[in-house]
Amino acid sequence: MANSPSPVFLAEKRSWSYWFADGLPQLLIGISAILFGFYFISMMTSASTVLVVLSFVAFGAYLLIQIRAPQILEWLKARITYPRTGYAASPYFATKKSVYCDANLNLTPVQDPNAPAIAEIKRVRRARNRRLSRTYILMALASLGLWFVHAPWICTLTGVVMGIILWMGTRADKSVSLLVILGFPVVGSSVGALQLAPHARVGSFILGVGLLFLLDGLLSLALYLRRNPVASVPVK
Amino acid sequence: MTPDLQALASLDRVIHEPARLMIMTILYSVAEADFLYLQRECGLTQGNLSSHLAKLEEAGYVAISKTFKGKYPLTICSLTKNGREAFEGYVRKMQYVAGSTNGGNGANH
Repeated sequence: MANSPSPVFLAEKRSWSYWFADGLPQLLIGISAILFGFYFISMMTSASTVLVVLSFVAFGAYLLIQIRAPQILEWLKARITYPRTGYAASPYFATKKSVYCDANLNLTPVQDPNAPAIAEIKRVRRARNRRLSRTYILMALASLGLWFVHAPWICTLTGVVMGIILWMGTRADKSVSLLVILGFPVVGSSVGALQLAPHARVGSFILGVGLLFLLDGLLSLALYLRRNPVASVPVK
Repeated sequence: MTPDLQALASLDRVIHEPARLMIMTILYSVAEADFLYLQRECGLTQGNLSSHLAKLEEAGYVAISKTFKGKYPLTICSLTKNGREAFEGYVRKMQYVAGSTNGGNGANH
């Protein structure tokens, strides 16, 4: 009994999975990676004014998504997810602040360092944040090979290494699908086969990863909509 | 009454009911959730969930608010500060009881 996870822990884990179940976060990651990849490639190989302008537009859109990601997701989920399967506060965005209601039914999230300790939830979220940060850092380090090693096989190797890092970093939560994890080596091999210059290699790799996430997001969304075709009647 | 049994006698009856314990557990871990999410997670009927939420609201453990996310109306539930404290107190007492069945370590909590 002592080794079995507590219901609090499991409920938190389910709410984390619920955040990704509709595929919308993956779609947003995919779109922003595609925009950044496009900006990266076109900035380095800008032959025409139109391409330069387009690359800046792509970068602007990328920045907008980065800054407004919670609001964009909220907007999409309010139209797709909440009417079908309900609303639960995102555990991802809740990690930075303690959200609770005060006695006056004020539902605004408030910063309260003196809020009662939520030891287990805090521990789980801290561990997850550490794991994700470690994954991001290792993936960034792994991508350096694309810049500095001038051989076609480096793309495949980078894809394989990044896939393994991603799998190790997210297997506890299963927040990244196997399609994306197994797709990394495929993206790497494809970019390697194109035999591009280093900057174009990096840009193409980002673009390929973006397409992977986009595909994963679209598939997850299609599955979610198939499982939950009709919006439930909201409770009044 | 002996002091070791007092912890059992003072268990919060509002939380101790299984359906309400489920609701409290979910709200403790997700900060806030709407009626539909709670219904799906707990597997309760609308009427059942409504009555349990009303009891928790009456006890001051849950705050219920009607709001909109886009055009979709939501009945958002979340634990109040009292609710969090009560839940943590309840869990501590249950850990004490569970500990006492594992060789009397429960008093260390």
